[in-house]
Amino acid sequence: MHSTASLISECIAGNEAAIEMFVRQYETGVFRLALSIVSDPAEANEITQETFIAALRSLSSYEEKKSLKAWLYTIALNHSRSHLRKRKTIERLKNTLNSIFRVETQKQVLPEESVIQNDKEAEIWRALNQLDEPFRIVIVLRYFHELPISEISEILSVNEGTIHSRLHTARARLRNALNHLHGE
Amino acid sequence: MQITHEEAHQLIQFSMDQTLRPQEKNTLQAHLDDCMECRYFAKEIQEVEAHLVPAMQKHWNLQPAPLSVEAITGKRKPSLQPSLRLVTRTAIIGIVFAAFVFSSWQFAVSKGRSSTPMPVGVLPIPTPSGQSTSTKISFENCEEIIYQVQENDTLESIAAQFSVSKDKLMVVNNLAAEAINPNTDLLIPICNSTPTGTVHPSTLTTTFTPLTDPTASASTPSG
Repeated sequence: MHSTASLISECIAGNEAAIEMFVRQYETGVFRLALSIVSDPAEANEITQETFIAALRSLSSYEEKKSLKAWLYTIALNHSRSHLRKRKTIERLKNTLNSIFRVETQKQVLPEESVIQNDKEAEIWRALNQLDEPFRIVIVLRYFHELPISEISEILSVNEGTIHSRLHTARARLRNALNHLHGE
Repeated sequence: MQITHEEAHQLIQFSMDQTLRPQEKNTLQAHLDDCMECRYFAKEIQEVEAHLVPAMQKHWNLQPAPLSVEAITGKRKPSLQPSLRLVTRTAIIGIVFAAFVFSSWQFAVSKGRSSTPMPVGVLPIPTPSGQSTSTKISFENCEEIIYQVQENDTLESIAAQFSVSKDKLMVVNNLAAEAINPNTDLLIPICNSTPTGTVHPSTLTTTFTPLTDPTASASTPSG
């Protein structure tokens, strides 16, 4: 088993076996992070590939202060965000065109939505998707990726206090969503 | 130690992140033992956590399609593709949009044309203006006759005879004064209509109809 440092240096040297090892080790995590942001497996795959291409190109500038995973996740996060931005532009364009042509598009119901039997789980899921991005990402990294606060702070380049307060706000909002369900 | 509900909520949140110090833990526990509301809050936050993780896992615990290392190490093509695709998509949408705008504009123009077809058909018919017709007619029907001045003739009487103005006779014959000598020849312009040149179209018909009458009256004195 390679140590992280030797793996990195071999990747920089262009050793394909080392690169393959590096990719296999982190691809699931990167893919799931991308998926949790863009919610589209095909797009998440694209982002994963882009992330590794970008990472291998700038691997020499990687500083060991940050964990390799946090560093990779930062790249993945940036790529996911730029994909989201592109998608928003396209959607805005589509909406404009639709309103001009007066095309009534049926609202797509995600197949997963119907799978969820549990009301509370569905409500939480809905509330999570309605959270503003900074709060949503913190929740995703904390609960789905099970990262410690310190690593989340590294990935987002935000201090730990802010991460805590975002987590608190996000949890309080999700709780309100559940309460809303109880109230109905 | 007494803490407010707000502080208790804060501590509950910190305990969820496992960042509670032992002393704070005791304080929180003491508050929770007394406060049912905060116990409820803690329970609800735990419930959020309990549902959150399975909800996310259900949606996102997918395996990635295995990446090809050659694609990552080798060519840069794959990284270019998405942006290129975006550009082509945008370009296609742009072209379609431009075509739509152009066609709808064309449609609007042709529609506007068909609604008012009359003026185009009417305009080309040539209608002579009243002014030009009247002058033409008056010059066409003018003739000059030579009249020998008699003993008792005055310019006035001649003018009255031929229904011509005195001034006109003077102009035509280059006369400086009204006095005329007998046995001299005078040119008398006889016209069917007075060539004033300012005949209105409404009066045009009236100048047309008595076409023969003035000639008849003009011929009587001479004959």
